[in-house]
Amino acid sequence: MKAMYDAEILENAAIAEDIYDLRLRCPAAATAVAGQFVAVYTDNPATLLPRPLSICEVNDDTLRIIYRIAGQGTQEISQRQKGETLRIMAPLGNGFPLENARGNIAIVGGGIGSPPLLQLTKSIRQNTPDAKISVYLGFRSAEHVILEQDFAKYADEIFIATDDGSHGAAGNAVSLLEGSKFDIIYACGPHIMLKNLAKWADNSGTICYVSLEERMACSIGACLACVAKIRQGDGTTNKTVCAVGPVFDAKELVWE
Amino acid sequence: MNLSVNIAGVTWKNPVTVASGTFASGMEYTFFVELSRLGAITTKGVSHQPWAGNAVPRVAETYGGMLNSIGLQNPGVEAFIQHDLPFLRQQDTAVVVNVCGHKVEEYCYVAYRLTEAGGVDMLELNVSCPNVSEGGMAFGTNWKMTEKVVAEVRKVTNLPLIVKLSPNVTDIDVIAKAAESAGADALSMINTLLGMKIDIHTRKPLLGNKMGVGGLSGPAIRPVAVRCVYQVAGCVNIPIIGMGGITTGEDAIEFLLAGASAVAVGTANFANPRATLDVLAGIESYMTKNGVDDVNKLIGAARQSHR
Ligand SMILES: Cc1cc2nc3c(=O)[nH]c(=O)nc-3n(C[C@H](O)[C@H](O)[C@H](O)COP(=O)(O)OP(=O)(O)OC[C@H]3O[C@@H](n4cnc5c(N)ncnc54)[C@H](O)[C@@H]3O)c2cc1C
Ligand SMILES: Cc1cc2nc3c(=O)[nH]c(=O)nc-3n(C[C@H](O)[C@H](O)[C@H](O)COP(=O)(O)O)c2cc1C
Ligand code: FES
Repeated sequence: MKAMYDAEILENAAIAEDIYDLRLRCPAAATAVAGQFVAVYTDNPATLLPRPLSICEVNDDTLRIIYRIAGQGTQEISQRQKGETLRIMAPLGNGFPLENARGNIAIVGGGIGSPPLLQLTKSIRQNTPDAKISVYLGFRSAEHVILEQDFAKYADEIFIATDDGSHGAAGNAVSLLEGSKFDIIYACGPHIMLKNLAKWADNSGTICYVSLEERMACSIGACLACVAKIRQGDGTTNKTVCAVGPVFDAKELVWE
Repeated sequence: MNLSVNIAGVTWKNPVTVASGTFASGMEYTFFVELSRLGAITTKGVSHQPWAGNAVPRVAETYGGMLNSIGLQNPGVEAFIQHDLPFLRQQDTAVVVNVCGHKVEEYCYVAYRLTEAGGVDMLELNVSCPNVSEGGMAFGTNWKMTEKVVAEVRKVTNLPLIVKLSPNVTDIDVIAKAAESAGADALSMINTLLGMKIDIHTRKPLLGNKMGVGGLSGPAIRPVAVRCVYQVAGCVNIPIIGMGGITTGEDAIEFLLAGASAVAVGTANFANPRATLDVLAGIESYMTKNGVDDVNKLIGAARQSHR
């Protein structure tokens, strides 16, 4: 059940340029699942709204979060020290559906969209040991590559692409999928990547779940700030990314 | 200690409600707030037909506040009656339903349906919506249009009517008096202040709606709101529900002293989901410290001692 916590910071260290690995001791870990997120509060009048950050990994009583410094809020979070507490609301949203996670599974991450897919990969490996999990990750360049070793622990194979070809293949994560066939795809990353992937999945008739980002205020489905456009009958309807999502079936979304 | 207030004939157990649109119908906040502890629940705006709302992004953060252009997304009055009202009726607190429309007839229809449905204690008319019959000018920025919509709604409901005023006007007194003379039983103020934020990287307005504008709310607007309440309290004889940036008990006290009979907590809920109860606790502790036994003694006290 979602609640507010003063979570103890066990670790908050840089792991790549402007990217931090945050570990929080928090009772929400008991129920959190892959694809859910937390809202981080900074107690600063300049950054009044909570920052949504995905749960990267759940280990016993701790939540692991990987975040990129994108502006003032994440900058401030990066200054917090081990031993201090961070006010968070967790766990939020609905995680990745796992019912159809079997057979040939593709997990596709773009940049800072990759972290939530780690817990997903781990959960699928635990629930369905005989699934074949192929992980495809895209980054800007070699210095931006994160979590490669972590994914390798649970995936059957892992492919990396960088925009400049400085690590793995040159290109993006979606380009790595060309020529393969899957039973199901899970993805998180930039909108354009998800849009291209949704098209690819649709053309090949593959089930595809994507995790979306949108600007939020309440983070619990009350203010209707964070909507995504969903197909409904002949028309569309707006559903909240924070409470109905952040994971959606790519087929249901209107890709603009 | 007496915390209860009377707003247009309806008793609220304390003077704290929520600002429309920041709390939905309360269901999402039950994880954090015992709704029965609120003086009233004020719902999101309800229109005749479903409204889809604006394009995203719908919110932008600013110093001490935020801009929103939700665009009053709501499923329409019938869905509200079916899904939200049964929940609201079960809560042991006053129910205020916020009503919006693009035409006078739409306000009237919604008011009529809500009255007929039962279980609603008060209606709050959001007159900051554009009047499509008058070229999209907001009802609440013109005293004649305000008077018209209030008078027409007055005819179709016997529920107490709260009229919610926009601060985006030259003279808020004129609009307040027009609402009162047309039959408003109470006023609420203030709605958001029009603003804009530009993304310097894309060189475009950040908000996704066509005009790129949004409503500013949060602590940044509090002094404007306090001034509006103080000013209007001096020229009408109906109670005022004050709002605009209220985050703490001290903020709420300021509004009561300015002449508000109750207060609403809006944007603060986003930074702290228990903000309503923190505000209530703050009011109580101010009263204890200052030996005030009845919250009603604070209402308008700054006006009486002034000059
Ligand atoms: C469900 C979800 C999960 C996310 N998970 C992660 C994650 O695991 N790691 C990570 O690094 N980032 C993640 N993000 C993006 C992260 O929320 C933003 O980078 C962060 O809010 C930026 O805050 P800031 O103050 O540093 O930047 P600023 O640009 O100063 O922020 C200003 C405002 O815009 C909002 N905002 C800015 N960028 C985004 C964005 N991309 N998405 C949503 N709101 C934004 C902020 O929350 C804030 O309200 C996630 C976003 C969502 C919606
Ligand atoms: C996200 C959001 C949605 C809102 N929706 C409505 C609405 O549906 N109807 C309305 O009358 N006011 C609406 N408002 C205005 C608030 O009720 C309130 O008047 C304003 O935000 C000032 O109070 P605050 O600073 O405490 O938020 C909304 C405000 C916000 C921030
Ligand atoms: S952030 Fe308020 S509904 Fe999603």
